[in-house]
Amino acid sequence: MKINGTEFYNMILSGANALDNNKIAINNLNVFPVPDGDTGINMSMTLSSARELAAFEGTVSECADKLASLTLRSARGNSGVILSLFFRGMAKSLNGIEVADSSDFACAFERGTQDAYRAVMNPTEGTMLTVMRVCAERAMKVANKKFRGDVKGFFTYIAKIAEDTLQATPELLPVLKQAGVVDAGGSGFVTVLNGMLASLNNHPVVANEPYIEAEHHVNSAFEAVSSDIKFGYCTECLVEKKKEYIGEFQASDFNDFLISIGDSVVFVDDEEIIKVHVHTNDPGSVLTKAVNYGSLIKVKVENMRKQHSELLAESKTLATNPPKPSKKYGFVSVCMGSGIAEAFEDLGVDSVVYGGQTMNPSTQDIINAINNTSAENVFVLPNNKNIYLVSKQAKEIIENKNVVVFATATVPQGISVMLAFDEDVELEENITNMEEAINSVKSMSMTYAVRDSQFENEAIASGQILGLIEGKICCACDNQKDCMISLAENMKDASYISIFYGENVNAQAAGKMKKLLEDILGRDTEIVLISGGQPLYDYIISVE
Amino acid sequence: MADYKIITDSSADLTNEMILKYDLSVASLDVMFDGEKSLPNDKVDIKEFYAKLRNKKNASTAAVNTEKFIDCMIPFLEDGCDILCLAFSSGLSSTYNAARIAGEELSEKYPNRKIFVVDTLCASLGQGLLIYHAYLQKSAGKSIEDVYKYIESIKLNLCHWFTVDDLFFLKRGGRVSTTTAIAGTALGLKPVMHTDNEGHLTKVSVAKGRKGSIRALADKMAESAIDPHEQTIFISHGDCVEDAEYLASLIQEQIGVKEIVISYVGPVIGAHSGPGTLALFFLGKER
Repeated sequence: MKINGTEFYNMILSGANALDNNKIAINNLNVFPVPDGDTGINMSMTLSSARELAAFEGTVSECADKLASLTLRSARGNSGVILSLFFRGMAKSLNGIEVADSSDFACAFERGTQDAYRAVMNPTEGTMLTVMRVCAERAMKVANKKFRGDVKGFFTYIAKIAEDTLQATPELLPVLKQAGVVDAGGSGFVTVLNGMLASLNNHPVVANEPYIEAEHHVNSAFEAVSSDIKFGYCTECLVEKKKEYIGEFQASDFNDFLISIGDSVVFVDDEEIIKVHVHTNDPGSVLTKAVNYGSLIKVKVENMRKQHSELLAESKTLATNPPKPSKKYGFVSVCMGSGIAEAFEDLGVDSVVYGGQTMNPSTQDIINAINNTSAENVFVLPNNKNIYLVSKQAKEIIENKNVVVFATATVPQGISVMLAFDEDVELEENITNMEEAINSVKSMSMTYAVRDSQFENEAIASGQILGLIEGKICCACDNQKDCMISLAENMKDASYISIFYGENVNAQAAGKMKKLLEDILGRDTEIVLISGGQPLYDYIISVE
Repeated sequence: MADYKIITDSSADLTNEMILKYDLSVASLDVMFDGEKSLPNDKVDIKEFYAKLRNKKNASTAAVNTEKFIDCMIPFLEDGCDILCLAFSSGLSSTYNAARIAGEELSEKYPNRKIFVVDTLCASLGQGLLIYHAYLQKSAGKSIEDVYKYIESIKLNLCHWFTVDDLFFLKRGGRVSTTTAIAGTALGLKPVMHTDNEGHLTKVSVAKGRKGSIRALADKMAESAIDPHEQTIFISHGDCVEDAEYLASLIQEQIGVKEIVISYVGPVIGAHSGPGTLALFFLGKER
């Protein structure tokens, strides 16, 4: 049998459900037993956007296209980005195809793998990429020969190949072997394939928990830091594009208009649809503008001030604010703690994106932050290894600004980059200086082990305190004090140390840590203590 | 050739010893704490002064007025002496203006006397260092016109580099704009500031931590000092003598100068810069 668009969609939905049901198990496959293992959640959230295609009718080509577009924007974490790019490659390959046969899927897998590999700077074998690659290679060999007209048989075969490859990943990547796990991303990919196969077998995977669309004002990864409501009406609408605006990114002046009348702009400018979300004091103007671009499908206007009665007394003004002046440089920074966000804003960051506990920001979240920064050149600081690809994806999508993404993997690196910025210096020189600054600081952190594990032939017990240097485990101790003493071995020649303490640390305990370090390191080292408010990592330390 | 007297005001932060040695006459600015009597600079106990500032007591200052300058200058003019007045930066106080007006008025009353008034565009021991150079010239027998011209020509080479512990004092006194907010105070970053060619205090860069800011001062000197080995340089501090000594040791290590003189930032300037101020003065290529 061949597969039509609706059947393809059902396969994807089943895959998405399978991912969602297994996300915690996949999270726990994280190599380092650190608490922010979130591959499962990231991949699940990435693919879950496929639900927006509910009751899809159309060709395989159309379904693949829409899927690619949706997952691109909802991609979170490196694993999410890789998965979304795989789907984009698939969509390119399936272009024009109404019903798909095994060989069509084989080519799609091949193209998907190529796109996924291209996104990663240093593709590593023993990861999701390997599983994709091996599946694609075998698929190309057997599709026509053995499985012509038998997509179910094809997927049964491929799913087994994927599983076998996954089980072999510890042989390819020593850290997996040591940690006693298979690769998390690979596992996610296998889960999706199994879900797709289940659908072909007429037992599609059903979600265990009802999927709750993240309430975007409560959990928004893009959150204005000030608690005043400047723009009172949350205005949303869906516009079905008129003929002259069909095509991605054809309506960017609508976006500019939205930025000039409010904030918290979310603007999705797709092939046929525009999704609008803005906080403004003049909701009528949004709708008046929208009808220029097509017909209004859904409209929602909420009075946010009424929801915050204590703020009713202030801001009665309905006057539209003057458009924010565009400046030469703007900054977007991903932060995971209010104190850290304040520190970045103090240094000049315009838009903060909250990384949250394990809710890494999606591509769309970063896009929104960039769009809300009125500047010609926007610098993006991911401050986390897992947010770098998502930021780069956002950069690919933005057309009307020059976006520069710095590969900051930690908060200290992000701060170092901010400090290296000099507005009196030309753009190119700034970029050079800022990139150099990334390596001028040493980043350390302290967290706890979420499961038993191994590290360099030493056993780590769940609950032990982990000390990390540049994201790699350096020590596992029974208490925080011992861990800090161990980390201090690597601070011996430092002249300036900043300690950000997390939301679970009280100021007194943090003060004691500072004193401990002062006693160990002596007078020549200056130590600054800052309340970072971050989750999971009780201490983030910058050493220079 | 008539004898001449070098006159200045107390914001030069010169010690009594120096005032005696350089044969100066000094007109005093006033400082007062809320609810207390106003005192001239030289009558204030400096350690007690900084202790009060640390206790968040509010201090304000008053410039020298024209009358005071006139009273100061008349005795020397009567004696047949000319006057060279080196006044506090016009960018920070109306003191220079008062001196200028006094000079103009007295020029009319004493047409045979020469009265030169200089806007030093300097402050604290920066002004003090400029006066020191005037004194050297005078001791070498130079005329009042020559010294006046010389001082005018080098005053913009009198570099002032300093850091403060807390920008609060400068902001309160209005000597820096509120937009000179220093980014990163929560991160322990300190301002590296200087006196510019208009005699204003401006932030030039930011350093990491106190030690970092002190090293930055030494670095600035290394960059622009003229013949440092020949120079006598001044360092003034807001009750942080250990930091001053640390700075001095860095300079001797990195650069090497003939002589370093360390002294307090006096109360009038101290009220505006606060405890923890550390300032370095030397002759450099440019400010």
